[in-house]
Amino acid sequence: MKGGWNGLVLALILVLVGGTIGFYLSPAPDTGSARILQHMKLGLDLKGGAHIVLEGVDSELGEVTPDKIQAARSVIENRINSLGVSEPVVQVDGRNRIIVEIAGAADIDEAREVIGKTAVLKFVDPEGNEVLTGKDVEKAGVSTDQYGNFVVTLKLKGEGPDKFYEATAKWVGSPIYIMLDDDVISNPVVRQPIPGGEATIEGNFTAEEAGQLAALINGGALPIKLVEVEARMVSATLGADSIAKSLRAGAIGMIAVLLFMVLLYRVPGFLADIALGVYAILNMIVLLMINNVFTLPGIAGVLLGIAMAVDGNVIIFERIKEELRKGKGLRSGIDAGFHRAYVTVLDSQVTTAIAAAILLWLGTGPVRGFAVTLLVGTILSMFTAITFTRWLVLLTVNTGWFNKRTLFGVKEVAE
Amino acid sequence: MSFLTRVRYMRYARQYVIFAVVTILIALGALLVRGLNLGIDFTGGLLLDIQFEKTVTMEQVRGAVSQALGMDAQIQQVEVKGGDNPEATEYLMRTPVLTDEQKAQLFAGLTQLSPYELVGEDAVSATVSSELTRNALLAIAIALVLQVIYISIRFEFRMGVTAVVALVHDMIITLGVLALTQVEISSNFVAAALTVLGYSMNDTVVVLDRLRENLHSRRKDESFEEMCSRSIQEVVTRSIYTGVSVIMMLVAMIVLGGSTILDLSVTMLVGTLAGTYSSIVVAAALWFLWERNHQGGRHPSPAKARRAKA
Repeated sequence: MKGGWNGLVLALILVLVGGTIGFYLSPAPDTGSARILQHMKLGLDLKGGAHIVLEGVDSELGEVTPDKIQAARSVIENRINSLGVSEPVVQVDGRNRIIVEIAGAADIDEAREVIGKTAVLKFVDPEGNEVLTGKDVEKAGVSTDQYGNFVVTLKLKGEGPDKFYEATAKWVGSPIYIMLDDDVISNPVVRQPIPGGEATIEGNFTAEEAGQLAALINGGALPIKLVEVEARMVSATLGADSIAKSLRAGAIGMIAVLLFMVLLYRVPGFLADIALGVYAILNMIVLLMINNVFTLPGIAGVLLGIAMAVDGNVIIFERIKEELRKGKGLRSGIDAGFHRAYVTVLDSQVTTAIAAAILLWLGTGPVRGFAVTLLVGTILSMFTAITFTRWLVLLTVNTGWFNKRTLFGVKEVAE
Repeated sequence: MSFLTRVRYMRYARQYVIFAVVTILIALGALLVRGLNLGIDFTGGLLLDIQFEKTVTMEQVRGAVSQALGMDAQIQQVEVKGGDNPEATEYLMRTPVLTDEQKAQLFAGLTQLSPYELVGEDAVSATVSSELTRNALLAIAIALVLQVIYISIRFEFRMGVTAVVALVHDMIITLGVLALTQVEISSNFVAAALTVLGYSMNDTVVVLDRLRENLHSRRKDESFEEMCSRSIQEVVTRSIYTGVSVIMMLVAMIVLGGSTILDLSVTMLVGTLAGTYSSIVVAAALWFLWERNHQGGRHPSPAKARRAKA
């Protein structure tokens, strides 16, 4: 009776997982694949986005020179990166232009505004004297004041703290104007002299606005004035034709790996395939939940995660085979195999997760895209490759229907 | 297969290391002599904006470009600028700097698809900035240091060091093969290199894990060399199976995937192969030699151990 019960649970899992995978992989328009694609944010390399061309013009900021265009290019790149827009293309075009390509279309107006701003930050006293400029700022951040309003905090450097203290000492009771380009963004009244080189900008910001302003200040001012001369939608940098081919190639490769597992390990191999299916579903759910933008480096991270999940199962099943060859019974061989392989898989996954976390923390652009998916992948595969597979295998053995050792890829030994 | 599980691997540890050093020197030589074929993402190049009068597909454009120039260009379709011809299609093409002759060939090839207008032609800079590269290298360096610390705690310090040596070996070999084959390197390379590092470290840790385990449960009549060889015998099947799984996937991508991800797939394939054998040939072999030299007394041969008992 126990066998029947386990069999029922197992059959239920198979139907559930198979059904879910079938539903999500089916290309019919009203099924999951269409829905996933709708929610999936794809990067510039896979889906395309906006192609914006900015041109440097001579202004009171100075004349356009190749050096200043280069400097403007890296300011823009820093701004886009600190906005969290994934993997933009920013390049100098000719002598006086900068091309910016960013994924998606929804945030283009917003991005355009941030990219195009000159971002000359000035603190001005009531007489119109410059107190501080963006060059005195070491780092800008976002915080909240005692009322819960979002403010931008500034840490000053060099002579900044002294200049700020002098000005605030001189103008107690009067306002100091904080200006970005030609707009006054706030004019707080000085209540007391402020020492220590910390200043805040209040201005009824939303969290997003405060973040953008901090990004602008951190990125530094553009050394020249830029005007937008062109904005058009472009297709994926990888080319739609190549993406379709790569997807097909990936699918064929994946099927080959699944078949290989069944060939090598028979029943457990099939169960590992099921676990991989669950892994793929969970992986997708988590990546969608954290609003991951999918790019080629990100997909490389997913693939490495899959490879490590496969490796986890190979390690475990090889270990089980080893134990079975030593003459252990099926049940105790499986127990010993999982128990011993557990440490191996854990250490290899943790080592990888450490690297992924560091790359996520310190990397920019493609490095970050790769690190996010790899980190999610390793954390999930620790669960699916060990815990879930183990549960499936034990469930299967408990049915009592698969007790032949040959079904585990081991030659039957004379007992 | 059964042959592979019977080899006395560590008898030849010295030869492995010599082999690794020689291949590293060859790879470095290739890098010095031929250099990497860096694509436009790293070097900058030409941006052409071409408007066709008729509807032309991206595949057609790609075909015409690679036929005319014998190389691949980065091609993006772009919203048509101006005009009200509903059939018009427009493409942005990023190519390396072209000679006048190459340009003439390209334009001749494009004319065969449809009459067209050259809307723009500009020299463009690299898209992978040196800042990004520097950042990535710094992040990788810090990640490696932390991995050595983790392995030193969970395994031992010498294993951490040899694991990283194996990783550096894999990177040099991969770069060497890229220099030899002159595959054009795009920004995809960053992703491929990171994948290789991740795979290689994973593979090395699994091999070292078996050495760690057997070091603690050494058989009585076994020498240090025999114990290490047995450890490799026990993990070699797994190394091959996992390697084959990954390689099947990559071969599918090389054969069937588009030309735009060729550098990615080739880098990963070479790196996976190097990463798989280096776990044994570099990491395990170096650790074996190092451990035997410095800690010889802790791992007496069975003969010595017997003498000591008597």
